Amino acid sequence: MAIISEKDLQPIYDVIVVGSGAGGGQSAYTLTMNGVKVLMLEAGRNYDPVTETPMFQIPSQMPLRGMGTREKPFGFTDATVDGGWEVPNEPYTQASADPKTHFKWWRPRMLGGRTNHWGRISLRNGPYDFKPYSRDGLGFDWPISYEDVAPYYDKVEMLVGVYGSNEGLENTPDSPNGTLLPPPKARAGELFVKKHIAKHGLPVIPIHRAVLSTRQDHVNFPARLHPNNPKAQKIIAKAMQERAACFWATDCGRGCSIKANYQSTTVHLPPALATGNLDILCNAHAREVTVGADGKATGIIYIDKVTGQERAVKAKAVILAASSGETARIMLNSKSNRFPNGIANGSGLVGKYIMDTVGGRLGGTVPAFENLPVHNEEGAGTHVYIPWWLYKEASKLGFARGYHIEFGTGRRMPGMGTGGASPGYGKSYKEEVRQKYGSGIGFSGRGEMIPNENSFCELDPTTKDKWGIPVLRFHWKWSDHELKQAEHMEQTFHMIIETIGGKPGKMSKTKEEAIEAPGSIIHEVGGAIMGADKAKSVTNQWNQCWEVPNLLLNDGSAFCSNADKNPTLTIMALAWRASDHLVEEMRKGNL
Amino acid sequence: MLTNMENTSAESPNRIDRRAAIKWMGAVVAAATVSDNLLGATKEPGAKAIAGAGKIIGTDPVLNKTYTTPQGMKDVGYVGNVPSVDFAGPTPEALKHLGLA
Repeated sequence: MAIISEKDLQPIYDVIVVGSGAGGGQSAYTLTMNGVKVLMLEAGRNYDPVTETPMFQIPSQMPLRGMGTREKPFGFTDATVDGGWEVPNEPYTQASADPKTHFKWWRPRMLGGRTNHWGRISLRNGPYDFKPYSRDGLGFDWPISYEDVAPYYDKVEMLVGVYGSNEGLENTPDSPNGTLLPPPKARAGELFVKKHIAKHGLPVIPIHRAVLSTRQDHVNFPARLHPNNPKAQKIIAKAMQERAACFWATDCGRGCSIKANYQSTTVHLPPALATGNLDILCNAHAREVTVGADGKATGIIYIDKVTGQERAVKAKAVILAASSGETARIMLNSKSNRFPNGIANGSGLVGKYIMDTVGGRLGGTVPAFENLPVHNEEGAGTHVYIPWWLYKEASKLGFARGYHIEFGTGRRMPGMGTGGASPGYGKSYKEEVRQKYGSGIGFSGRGEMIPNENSFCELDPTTKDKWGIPVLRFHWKWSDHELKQAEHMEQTFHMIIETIGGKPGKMSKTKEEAIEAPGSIIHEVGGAIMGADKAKSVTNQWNQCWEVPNLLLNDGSAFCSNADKNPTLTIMALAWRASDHLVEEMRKGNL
Repeated sequence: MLTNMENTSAESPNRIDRRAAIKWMGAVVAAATVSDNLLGATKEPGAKAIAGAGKIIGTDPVLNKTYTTPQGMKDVGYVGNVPSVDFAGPTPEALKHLGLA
């Protein structure tokens, strides 16, 4: 089994997995390691980071010096080789003309999906994050607790390789000893911030990122990952040895040809393929889940994007991990006599409660950083961060929930615009650039959004994509909690920059201006939330649809809250947990 | 004054914020966001200044790319983009410069 073409499809598989990113990759990995025969459908093209990643190219070697364009908003070398905010022939619509209600939908069309370009920030949700309703009466509690997920966080961290440290801070879980890889040293500017803001009670600690700071323990990890499964241990031990440690250069967002960072394409899929149990079909855009007379899922109808033809494939169970929006769209388009409003949508909640992360930012310049003695500050993206530090002050803030702070400093690779445009030439200009290069600092807040009734997607009644499939129409409204949080972020960043003697950039005039546009942080989750009550949720705690137990939602769609912690690690942990449970249920004959 | 860093990114402080680029989309913005005379000096709200930025940049395309070349990087003292076994972190001189030694 391998990356196949249509003619090689088997008549029936044990499981079809739709999507190849964090949720799909993890599901396929867990299932195939347990001997389950899997077909993975990917709507985009095949992609191999080992051969396709532009590692050391500098902007002068790139079209437009690497700058962002409409087609490549994250710059020419971004790993997203196809797809983005806009996908040709695949529109989506907004319910209102008011730009404030518009949701920007990021859709990579490539093997590995968003895992190819993401920031690799891998923070565990804490105990509070699974029970937010119990703490403040807003949103929903998860039907599971931190303790249910912790063993899977451990496994995912060992499998993908995460650097970081244990700091014992509130709602910021530690990992078992030996699970995390050592964090890289903090940069000069990061240490400077740490020293000066300690008096305000803001901790600066190593961040957790899915990057190999050292090679993985291929001797001990395999048995911890796959107890009593010698074949799986052998395969993953070999795969771990094929990954190199980070060499502290080149932007992770381009992808990684030495497999030092986590991408589904370099970490999940190669060992899954090595089991011989995985077929991957690219350019196969899932349209709907098919249903049998007994109400169970029987397979997928997809569009072969190369020929435009419609095909059906069959399986005993189906996992949707197409990204939460696309998963909701497939479900809503899966209409039958039994499910006239879309498969497993008896609750009417498919498409409801979509969330993104609350984003805010502010930059500045810091005179203390000028003329810093020359040294290599490149490293591996983010090294440190500030976790949410005001749990005890929650009642005084005027908004619920919190945010963490990511920030960047240092003498990093110059790009277009470095040096500005004025005065623009001559000796004094060049001297000023030398003095000020590396003196910038940038802060980004990443905060929790509370699910609300006004943020949802549905099928557009008229608009269809190139293949005649109804598209999503988005509705969005921030609550005052998110707006006030974004305002608080900006004020905090301003305070930090002033505390370190810097000159902050311009503040927003309103809190509506302070918050980043909906969808722009690309932490889209929700749309088919899990819960303990089948009338009020789409899936149970095992990501199984209440009404169709052999249909699982293993991406972010089942999230019923969106903690400030970046969602990818939790998507993987839940996908592993759900896939383990699926294997067990299949063995027992319960599906 | 030559650098207005208000759109600085946490990930790559010397480049435009990738997510800022999304907001306005397009090459013009990328250069404009780090240039005082396009944003900071005008005291205009970001979006308004951006609207007229294309013309200004259009007359001044060479300067902004100076530091994207090997020569430019050398001139400014950029020494990254080379592989190393360990990330050494700040030098004693750098720590001293910041009063951290």
